[in-house]
Amino acid sequence: MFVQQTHPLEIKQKLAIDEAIISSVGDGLIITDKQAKILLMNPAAASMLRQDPREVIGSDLIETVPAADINGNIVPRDKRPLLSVLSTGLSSTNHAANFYIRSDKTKFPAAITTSPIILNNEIIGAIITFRDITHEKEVDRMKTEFISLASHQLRTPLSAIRWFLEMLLSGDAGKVTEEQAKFLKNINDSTIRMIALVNDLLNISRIESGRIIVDPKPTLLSGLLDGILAEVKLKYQAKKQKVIVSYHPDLPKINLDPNLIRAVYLNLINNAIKYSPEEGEITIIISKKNDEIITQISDNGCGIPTTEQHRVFQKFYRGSNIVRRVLDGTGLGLYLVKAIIESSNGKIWFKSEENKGTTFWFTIPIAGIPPKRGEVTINS
Amino acid sequence: MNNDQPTVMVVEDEVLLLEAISKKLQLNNINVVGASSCKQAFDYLESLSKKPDAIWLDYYLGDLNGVDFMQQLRKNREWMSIPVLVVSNSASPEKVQKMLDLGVKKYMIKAEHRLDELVEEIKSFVKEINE
Repeated sequence: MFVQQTHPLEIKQKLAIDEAIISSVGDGLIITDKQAKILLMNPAAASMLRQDPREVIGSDLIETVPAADINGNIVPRDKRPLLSVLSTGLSSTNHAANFYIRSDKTKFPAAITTSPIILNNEIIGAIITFRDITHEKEVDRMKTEFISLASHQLRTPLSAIRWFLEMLLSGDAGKVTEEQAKFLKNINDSTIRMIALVNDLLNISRIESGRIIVDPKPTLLSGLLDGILAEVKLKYQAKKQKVIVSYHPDLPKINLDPNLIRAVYLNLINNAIKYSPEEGEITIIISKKNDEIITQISDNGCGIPTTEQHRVFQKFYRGSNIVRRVLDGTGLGLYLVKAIIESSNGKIWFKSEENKGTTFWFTIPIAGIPPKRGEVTINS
Repeated sequence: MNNDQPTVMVVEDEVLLLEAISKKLQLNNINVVGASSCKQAFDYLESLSKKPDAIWLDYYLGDLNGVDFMQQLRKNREWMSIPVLVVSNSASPEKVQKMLDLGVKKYMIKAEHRLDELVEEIKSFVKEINE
């Protein structure tokens, strides 16, 4: 077989070009070996991390470049994506806010992708690319702040509309005809819906901005749920629905923020009531499994069309089968629910069949959730 | 003004809201003294022969905010005892706590409530005082 000979000078030239390419990449780039030791750090990475690109070679990446989570806590070694990429060979991109810590202990938010380097079917190392997203975060913060401000501003005219309507409807300005009363009631319903929308938007902006206070207190989920059920009793009784409740006999008290979990229960139960027929049945089960408490909320309502199920937790999603029938929904409830559960270190999922019903499950760790300082609470 | 009826002072800088609140209170046989700024509220307090039985207070006012209002109110022994209901658009826990520490009896969110619910609330304050 004929093998083309490459001149040594040509190889050198090629290597120099490769190195120049890597050096010139504007994003940070770090290459490690299979043991997570740094083989190369390009100038952009070195400059962002304030490291000496020559000195770091051979040192452990995880120790040399610590990462912190959104609350400023150092990410422990076994939670760093690099290790799983090196063992599984699957790439990882951070979706949650992650910070890299510079050599001078300052930090910056980074979008990071970690990919394995595979040679002859074997993982021989990893390549990490990242960039500083301080600016994007700032724009995001401004967007959230704008939503919050705008929502607050909307509350004043909404209150005026609501209150004057209330007086018209109660005849404070004279008797209204039957048809006038009907029209006024329609305006009133829309106003109440708009107020709900503004509240949901405010809650979402609070969660997204990370300004929300998490204030865990030892809470018995069954007690919390009993209170909520008493609150919504009129609603399900009006539809002659049956609510069946079953609690694990010895539920422990869990350290969680009752305000936040209350919002979760309220949203899920209100949905079950709203989207189930008259005389429908709603089942709520709280069980214990390993180190988690699982809540299950089932209804025999209209369900979610299969083709839309991947969109259930998206902002403003409302089922195409209900959007024209049930008017008082904002499409923000489940998005909020998911955000709360995930910030409480839990998981949420569901199963649904159109015209048969929907079941939601969510977990809360028995260990509870850590407190978080912030400025705002939900519904304030 | 009917002297047999209780009097509530409403401090609210949004003219339309002030109008709605005043109307509803009057329909509930309550005399209303409406003020659209802190300054106006204190001018009235100083000039009124009989102090109001309760105060309905918005948090953000044109000139000052609720904290300033409460601090000024507490400087006068006679005014200190007037029960205050805050009805505001925003209620961060810090703000609410601060107002409660300053002696506010209750803090409620405007758009969340029907007017008659809020009126019932302030009536209960007046009743407590007069019992």
